[in-house]
Order: sequence, then structure tokens, then C-alpha cells
Amino acid sequence: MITLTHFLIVGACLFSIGLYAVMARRNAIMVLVGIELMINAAVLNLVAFGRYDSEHYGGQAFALFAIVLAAASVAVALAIILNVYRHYKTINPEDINHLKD
Amino acid sequence: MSAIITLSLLAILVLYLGLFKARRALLPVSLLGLVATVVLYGVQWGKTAEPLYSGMVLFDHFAVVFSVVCVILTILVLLLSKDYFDKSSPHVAEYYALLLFSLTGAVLVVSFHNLAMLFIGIEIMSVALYILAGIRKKDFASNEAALKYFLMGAYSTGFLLFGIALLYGASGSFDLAAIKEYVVSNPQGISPLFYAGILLLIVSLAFKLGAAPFHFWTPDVYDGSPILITIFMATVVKTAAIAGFLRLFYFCFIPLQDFWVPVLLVMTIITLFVGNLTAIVQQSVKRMLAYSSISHAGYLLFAIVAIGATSANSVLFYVTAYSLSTIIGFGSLILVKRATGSEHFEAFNGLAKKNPYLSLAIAIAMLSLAGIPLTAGFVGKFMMFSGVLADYQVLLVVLAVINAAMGIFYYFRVIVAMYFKPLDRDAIVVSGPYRVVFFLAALITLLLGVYPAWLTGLI
Amino acid sequence: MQALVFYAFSAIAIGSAVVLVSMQNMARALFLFFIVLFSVAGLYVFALADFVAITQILIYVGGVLVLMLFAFMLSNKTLLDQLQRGTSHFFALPVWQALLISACFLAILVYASLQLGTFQPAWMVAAEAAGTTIGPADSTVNHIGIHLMTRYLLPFEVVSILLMMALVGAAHLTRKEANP
Repeated sequence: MITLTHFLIVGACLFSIGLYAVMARRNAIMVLVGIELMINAAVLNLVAFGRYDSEHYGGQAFALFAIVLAAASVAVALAIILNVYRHYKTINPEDINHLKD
Repeated sequence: MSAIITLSLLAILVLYLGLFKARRALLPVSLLGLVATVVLYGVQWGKTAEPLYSGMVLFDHFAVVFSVVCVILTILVLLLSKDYFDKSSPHVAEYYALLLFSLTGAVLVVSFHNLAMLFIGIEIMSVALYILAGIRKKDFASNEAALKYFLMGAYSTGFLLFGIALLYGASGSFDLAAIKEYVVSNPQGISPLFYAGILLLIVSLAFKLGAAPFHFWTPDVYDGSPILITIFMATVVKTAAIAGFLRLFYFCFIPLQDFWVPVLLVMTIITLFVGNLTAIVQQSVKRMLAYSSISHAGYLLFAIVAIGATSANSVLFYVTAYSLSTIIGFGSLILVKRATGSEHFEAFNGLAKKNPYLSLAIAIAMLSLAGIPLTAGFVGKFMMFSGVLADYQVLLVVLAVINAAMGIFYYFRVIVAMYFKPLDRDAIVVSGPYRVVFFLAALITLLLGVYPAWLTGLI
Repeated sequence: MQALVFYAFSAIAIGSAVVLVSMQNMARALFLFFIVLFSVAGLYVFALADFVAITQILIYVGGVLVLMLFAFMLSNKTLLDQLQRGTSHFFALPVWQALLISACFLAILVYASLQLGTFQPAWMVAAEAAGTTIGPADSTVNHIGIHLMTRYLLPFEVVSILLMMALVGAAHLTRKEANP
């Protein structure tokens, strides 16, 4: 029999793995993947709890919001990341002329 | 509610204006829209507030006051933005629209009554700023600030989401009233999930607020972003973050004080020391202000450590005083940097001779940030400290006074540079909108310092 | 049988996540991320959230991951090298510190979840007693649709602000500017 605790432990593992990736990796994309793992773990918890909530379907509705929001922010993130690394080629970080105001 | 609709429609209108190349109309239209929002909030004042849309938002006095503060701060920031964006891109409408969207998020964060709205509000507020931090596409520091801000922000979103999931698991609802009901009705049997959820929420909100030990992104992001965006982050976002923090904890978690107050107490002390000690050694005014904003986050946390009926008022006062002075501080930095190309303390040398009024405004701002009597900053600090003293946490107050003394040291460096270090320099041209903003901010700072009662009775 | 499939999915998800975060080659890591996302979607089905599982596959696997992969495959070699090397500006804690912190979080969360057996939250007990848990025969899509249009109407509408903002912002960031 699969109980709620099973889901929660899987969620906790995924969350910690994501946490580790964010803290230990130097690569922006891998940090992003770590964050996505954390969000997935949270969504797993939400749907696992949501099974008991047939009145409002709160867990599943919130899970949908979370997935959509995460996807939107990934689009922004990729735009930013590509922007940063496009400049790596041309700009040497040591001689950046600091912001001109 | 009408205010939120106005704000989001305003942002879309601004985008349309950009599409039809009506660049001159952007600023006036945005300002008019924001003033209209303030009026709409004013009309709502005093009516009994009911949770709207199945308990999603609640426009009580707390929400209205903090929303109005956010909107007014945005008006001041937008006034400073005249001609500012033109240099970085020909498409300025997007910047105004993104600032307005971000403000919409901030307003949602201060008026949420359901964790779903808190989550979405924080996301809207932050995603707009990730983009805005990187608007100088050719500038490496700006890009890097955007990337760093994004990764740290998304990281804290992960914590927020997991925390919310755990609270939901324990209490069965996202609604604040239902969560409160759960806490109050089960004083003994609070599930461990709930405690873990509170911890994760503290981590995530401390990230947004920039409190130690989750502050490390703040200096680099504040330093790398364009100054105008930094002003917005340091004022509106901080206001919304602390107001959301307080709202959640005041509404729901007061009965569990014994659990989370020690955690926050330790964080507050670390925040104060980290912010002040690192601010002292900075050579750049921009970085100094960035680090000092960390220490102000520490003072703001006082209100949550000593949570009670007066917390909202102290936070309101402190955050108003801090934000007004920060606008003057960073705003004058824009001007000084334009004139000298540098943001070091030396760039302020001899400013008092050529620009006496500008220097006076900066001096008032620095005195207020340092917490000198007769300025709003002093009253704010006083309210925070007395709130904590009422809870008998004398040690915290002693540590905070030591920190306030450190603060005086580095804020006075700016004043000393302006008044006592002579240097031949050209007068800085201060354009009309800047004058208005500095005058208003300095005036309010002084008035609140003398007549604090205007603001303290609001909530 | 059911339990066996559940354990298989969990093992695949956790196992590939562990391999994923310790991998140096990014393209391979992203393909492993595929597997993690699929197996997590499988777990959603076990929690009787079939619509969320399908959304996960459509949006995450079909959208996010493909977006990430395209971003790499379409970028040139130098860019890829730079991306692989990365910058040292984020956390970049030493491995043991990162491990320690995540182990602490894991311990707290696992402890809290294990306590659940003895302390089941009252609302779940009430829901089980009243029979208002979601059953395998319930059509979740119907209910989610109704709730999104009634109870969750405001968040649903507000999310659209976020989506539009992300669209405008991402388009603006990647736009080529002639001369600023």
C-alpha cells in the first residue's frame, strides 16, 4: 500500500538533491536544473496532499499554477543566460567598463 | 481590487503607447495612472474589508496603507526615470510596463489572503525585476546581476513553494483564515510538517528581504543593476517583502511564537552585524548603500521578532523613512555618477559648495538613515527598539544600538566628503523632476521626524 | 504490483537525479533530466493527479526541456564551452558543505514526514471519514476546470499577467538592438 509518507519522502529526496545542485554546481544551467528539481518536489507534495481535498481540489490547482509559473520563468531565465554568455565571447570580465550613468 | 485592475491595465496601455511610438506620453500616462490608483485606494479607505474572490485578497487597512506606500514610491522612482532609460535602448515602453507589472505583484504581496496569491504576487514582482536588472544588454555587470538575481530568486521560490506545500499538508487549506483556525484549534497537535513549512517560508522570505544568512546576492545585484532599478529593488520590493512577511506571520503564526522567534532572533543579529561591518569597509557609495540596506532589513525584522499589534505601524514608519532616504541616496548617486563617472566617496568631495541644496537633501537622507533625532529614521528606529524592549529582549536592543553607532560612522563619511573635503568641481545640473523628488522626500523625512503622529495611527 | 511500480518510478527518479547532479557533461545531464521529469509525472499519476501529470509532460518535457536543449544545440562551440565551464559567482560552495546543508534539510523533511504516521493531520482524517478523498474513478479534469473558474478565478487571471510579462520581457531581452 502506498501511503502519503512514501510520496513525502520521495519529495524530500528530490528537494535535497536539487538543493545540492544549486549550491555545489558552478554552471548556470545546472543550477537552473537544480531549481526545477526543487519545484518538482514541491509539486509532488502538493498533489500528494491534494488527494485528500476533493472539495476544493486545492493541491492540484496550485500544482498547475506552480508548473505554469516555473515554465514562464525558465523562458526568462534562458533569455538572460544566453545574453550573459553571448557577451563572454566579446567581453573580458577584467576590463569591463563599469556602468555608465 | 479596482486598483489592481487599474495597474495591470495601465501597464498594457503603456505597452500600446510604445507600439505606436508615443514616447513622450509614456511618463505622464504612467504617472496619471498611478495617481488614479492612489485615489482609488483612498476611496476604499475606511470601508469594512471583506476577503474578495473566495478569500483570495483582503484590502484591510494594512493592505491599503502598504499598497499606497508602494505606489507612491513607484511614482518617485518614475519621476527619476525621465531620460534615464533612453540611453540603454530605443524601446523604453517595455521598461515602464515592467516596472508597473512589478508594482502589481508588490500590491498583491501586501494584500494577499491566500497563499496562492502570495506565491503568484512574489513571482510577478520578481520576474519583472529579473528582466529589468538586465536591461543594459551591452553591460556585463548588468547581465550578470540579472542572472544572479534570477538564480537566487528562483531558488527562494523553490523554498517558498515547498513551504507552502507543507503548510497545506498540515492544515488542509491555502486560506489564511483556515490556517489560523488550524493553529488556534490544535495548540498541542500541530503537525511537524507545519513547523518544517514555517522554516522553509522563513528562508524564502529572508531571501526576498535580503536578510542574513541569505543576503549574499544583495550587494552584487544592487551594484550591478542600473541604479534606477536598484532604487526600485531597495524600496518597493523591500517594502512588499517585509509587509508580506509580517502579514503572514501576524495573521497565522503568532500562537507558535516560541518556535520561530529564536530562529528570527539569531537571523536578525547576524543580519545587523554582517550589513554594518561590511558597509564600513566599502569604498563605493553604491556598495555602501547596498550593504547598509542589508542592515536595515535587520532592523525591519525587529518588528517580526517582537510581533504584536504595533508591529505593522513600526514597519510602516521604518520602511517609509528608509525608502525615502534611499531614494535620495541612490538618486543623487545617479547625478554624481553622470557628472564624475565615479561612485566612490571621493566623487562627493566638495559638493556642498556648488550644490548646496542637493547636498542638504543628501545630508538629511544620510542623517535619517543613520537614525539621528528630528528625522524620520530616528522615530522609526525608536519605534522598533521600544517594541523589542517591551518584550524584554534587552540584549537585542544593546546589540542594535552598537550597530546604529557603526551606521553613523559610514553615513557620515558621505556628509564629511560633501562638506569638509574641498575640491574644485563643476556644479551638477539637477533637472526639474529630480528637484521635486529630492525636495518632497527630504521634506517628508523632516516632517515625519517632527510630527510622527501623522503616520503612526494609520493601521 | 502497484507498490512495485511506485517504487520503480521513485527509484528511477531519485537515482537519475543523483547521477544528474554529479555529471559534468551537460547534454547528457539534460537527457537524464528528461527521465526524472517523466518518472515524476508517473508519480503524479499515483497521487491520482492525472491532469497535473499530463501538464507536466506537455509543459516541462515538451516545453521547458526542449527549450533548454534547443538553446544548446543552436549555440556555437565557444558558447557551449563557456557554459560548461561556468562562472564561480553563484554559491559554488565546496562539495562537503553543500552536502552537509542538503543532508540537514533532508533529515528535517524526512523526520517530519515519518511523524505523519502517528500525527495524521486532522483534516485528512476528517476527509477520509467523510469520504471526500479523490478516488481513482473521479474525473479530475472536470473538477479542476470548475474550480479554476470559480474558487481559483483570481489567481488564474493573475497568472496571465505573469505570462504576458514573461513574454514581453524575454522578447525584449533577446531583441537585437542596433545601436543603443
